[in-house]
Amino acid sequence: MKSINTLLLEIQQGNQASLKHLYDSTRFAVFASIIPYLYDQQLAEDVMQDTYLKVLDRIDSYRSNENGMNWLLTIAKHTAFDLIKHRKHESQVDREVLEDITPSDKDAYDLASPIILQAKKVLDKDEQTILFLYALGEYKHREIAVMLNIPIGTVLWKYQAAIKKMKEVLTT
Amino acid sequence: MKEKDILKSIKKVVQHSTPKHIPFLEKEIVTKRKGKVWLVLPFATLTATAIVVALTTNSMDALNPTLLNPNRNFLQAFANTMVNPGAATIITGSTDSEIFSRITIPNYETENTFKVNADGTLSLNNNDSTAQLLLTINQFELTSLSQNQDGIISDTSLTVENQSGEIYFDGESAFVDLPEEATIIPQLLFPSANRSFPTQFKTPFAYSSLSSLIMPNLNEVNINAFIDNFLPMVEGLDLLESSFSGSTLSIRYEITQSDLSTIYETMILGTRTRDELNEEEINQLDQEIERNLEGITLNQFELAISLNLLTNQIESILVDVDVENFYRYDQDIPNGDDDVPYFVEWTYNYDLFFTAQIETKDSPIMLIGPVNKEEYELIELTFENPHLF
Repeated sequence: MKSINTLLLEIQQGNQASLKHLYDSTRFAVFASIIPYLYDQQLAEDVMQDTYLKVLDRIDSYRSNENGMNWLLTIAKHTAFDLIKHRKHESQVDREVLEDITPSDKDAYDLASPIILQAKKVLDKDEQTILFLYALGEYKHREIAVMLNIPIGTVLWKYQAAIKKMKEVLTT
Repeated sequence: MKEKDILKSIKKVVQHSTPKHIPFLEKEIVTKRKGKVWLVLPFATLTATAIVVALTTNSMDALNPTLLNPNRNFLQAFANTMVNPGAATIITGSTDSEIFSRITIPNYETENTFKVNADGTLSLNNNDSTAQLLLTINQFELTSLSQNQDGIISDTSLTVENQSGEIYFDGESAFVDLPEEATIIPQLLFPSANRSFPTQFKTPFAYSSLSSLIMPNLNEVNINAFIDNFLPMVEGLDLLESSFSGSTLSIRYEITQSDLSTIYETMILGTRTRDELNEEEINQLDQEIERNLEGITLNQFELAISLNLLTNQIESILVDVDVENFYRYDQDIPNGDDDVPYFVEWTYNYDLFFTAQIETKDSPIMLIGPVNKEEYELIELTFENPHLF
């Protein structure tokens, strides 16, 4: 399987098929990384679309020595911020809705599922990002540290804190 | 809810809610080319942030004088945790680690990568003369991929779940009672053609000597001396971070290659100092340190500790280690051809991290490898013993 860096360089060369491969290889990680900033499935899907559009738009700025995954997740995060800013009212509504939702009201497998709601309530954004990425089972803590460009110790620390808080909140 | 169940639930949600396709990817894309846009750094914002951080830090220090010496806090909590383990200490730990080994002998080479993913709980009930340890393995997963020079790849995968083992002390003897399924774990980690692992065996050590192996003989009287003696070693480490939240002090250290000799020296000398040694003892000490560190390259070692300043005990520990060990073992072959040197090159790369709610550090120098129900052998993890794998 091609690395993310290779796929980005191929897109830079104009290979459109590589964008689809990039999406298939990274969609779970990108989605996991934007969940902490969003409260709505539709909004999250919009961010996904905009993120990969921006990848095309900014592909010239990608440098071969950069970590591709970090580059991509940074775009996704900024895209989520931008969208929230432009839809401030809707986001506010979502936040209010979130507070009123009881876990049993919602589909077990969307962003309003009980486990995600609890994570959003008790974890900070970084803890959520690290926990969601690790939960995918595809990346080790060390790889997540590189993806997020933060020290491995911080990742381990925040992951452990996140698990502890989740265990507590899910036990009570 | 267990950690693995939390992770599974989150994984399901993420995978289920991530869009499978994005509409524009299905269409022909016209790539737009843009010129470089250089971002101007908002210096004013950065400066303002720096001032806020500085002010926050100063006020934190003023409010929490304990932060001024996190090293002493750490040692105090470490000593207290060891001196006073309590009637029932529970250590919950997990590791997601990788061990790489390469063994080279003339005309033959084999490589092994072991991935270890495990989590479990160790419950300790400690009274003066008796002690009981209950080890629960929630999950132990080992996958190994080995390849020899002929390109033959062998893949092994093993999962052991929900097993409990017991270590208990009766009088001066310690007994280990392992569940049948769990014995495959030491067999895989320490394979040997002549070694088997019975489910129950008696260790050769008296409880008193075991406890002194695991922890220094600390008591209320010598606890301060211990802290003062070990403080120079801890202060020699790089303190990467310290933060305070509620009653919890979190600190993070880094150990580098250059710290290793100091650490070994302190471990060997204990509460003594180099100044107390004569010339011959100093030479022996230096040789001992050199021998111990030979072939070891420390790529990374981070230690993060969470201390409860109210109870003065360690709450959790994270260890992240990436270390290489290279050893070349030269040996004459009996009746062999003197022109063909016989040697074993042994390279290990341990990429491990371990997290625990409470941890007591031991000195994992000696392993007990039972041969059968009555007999055991001691496996010394030294350079001179390349027979474990």
